[in-house]
Amino acid sequence: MSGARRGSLVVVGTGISLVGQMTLEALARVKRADAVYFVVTNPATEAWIKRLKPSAVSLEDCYAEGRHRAHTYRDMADRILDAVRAGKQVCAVFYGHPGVFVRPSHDAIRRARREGFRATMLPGVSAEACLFADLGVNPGRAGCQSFEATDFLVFRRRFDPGSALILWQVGVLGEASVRKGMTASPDRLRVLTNVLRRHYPSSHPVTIYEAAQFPFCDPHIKRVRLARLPEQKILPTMTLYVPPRPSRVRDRRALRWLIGEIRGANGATGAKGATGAGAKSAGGAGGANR
Amino acid sequence: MADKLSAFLVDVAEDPNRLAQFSANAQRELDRAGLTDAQKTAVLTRDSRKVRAALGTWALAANDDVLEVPGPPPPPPPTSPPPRRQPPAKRKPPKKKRPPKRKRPRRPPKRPTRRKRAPSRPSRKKR
Repeated sequence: MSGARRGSLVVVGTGISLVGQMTLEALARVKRADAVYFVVTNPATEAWIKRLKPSAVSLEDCYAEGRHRAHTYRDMADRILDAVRAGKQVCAVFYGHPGVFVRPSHDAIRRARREGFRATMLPGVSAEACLFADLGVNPGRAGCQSFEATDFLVFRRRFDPGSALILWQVGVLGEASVRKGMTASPDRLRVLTNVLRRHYPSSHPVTIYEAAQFPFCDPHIKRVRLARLPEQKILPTMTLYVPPRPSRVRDRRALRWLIGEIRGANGATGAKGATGAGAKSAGGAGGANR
Repeated sequence: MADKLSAFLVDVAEDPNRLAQFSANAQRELDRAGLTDAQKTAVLTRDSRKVRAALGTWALAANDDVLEVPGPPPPPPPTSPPPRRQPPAKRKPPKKKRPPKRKRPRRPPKRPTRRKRAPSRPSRKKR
């Protein structure tokens, strides 16, 4: 970028579990930066970032009781951008994946780019990545849909019960902020359960999940039937995983057409004298569909 | 005191040998770190929530994008004296009655459209 000025911004994530889930690339960027700003959720992560970069500055003081969140996020982005404008190589560190459920990271990058600075985001380990690992979920098997729980209800999100469903922040369903010791309201959980019961049987198993945050801790995994969901104590950091319904109806017409295509392709490649490897792979796929 | 706990957690997370020592004899490692009894109890549960509570956590934002009312903030209250009350408006004349709607002549019923045929399968060559 020829027009870019000297200052730059890179946004990285700490991962969910302390220390171990920060990528080597992110670690190097933190150490190399002129200025490091961070927003994390516990003092241990803060202590670790300070160990990596003693001059690192917390943006926690942007939060204030009763203050509008939009103003808090704007202030965070302002402080990050001020350092970029001063010509520094800035690294902003956020908890988990820096682009997932984090607004100021996206705002800062957008604004920096608009002003002609080089700004990038490095991927981090998100709670979703931890969920796939801990619950043994392969999103490639039946697909996976992911919604913020309040958003899911308020906007009546359409989804396919034949695919996995992940609902984030169920513990703060319908809440604007998090208070100490709060749990999901049973009434609101009942509303969510009723919505889900239109698509799943009441005996459908669901999992309440929370990733481990420290290396010697285990993830919180609790499996219950959907009908029992309103009785559960769900904390703000917990996630609801709804596995896909087992029965999936195949579109026979589409399937017949695809098989025909594959057979046709096999015949065509065979006639042209294609290599054995190509013919084998196509035949294998056809066999799997049969 | 939370500083000691933070330092202990970072040490264990950074150093695989320290983590192995902790796994082998947690109590000894906790004693060595000089933690309080409450902190030791929290760590021994191996429950992230209890360790987090022992560290002391702060509030997080939630649902900002969903529950916020979009649009600019309300304008500040006016500093000038309030305007004088206007005299009551004159009574509006009664509305004129609309002429009755003319009935449209009924259209002949639509002819049923033919269903489109599905695209035929590509012909298979005989070998």
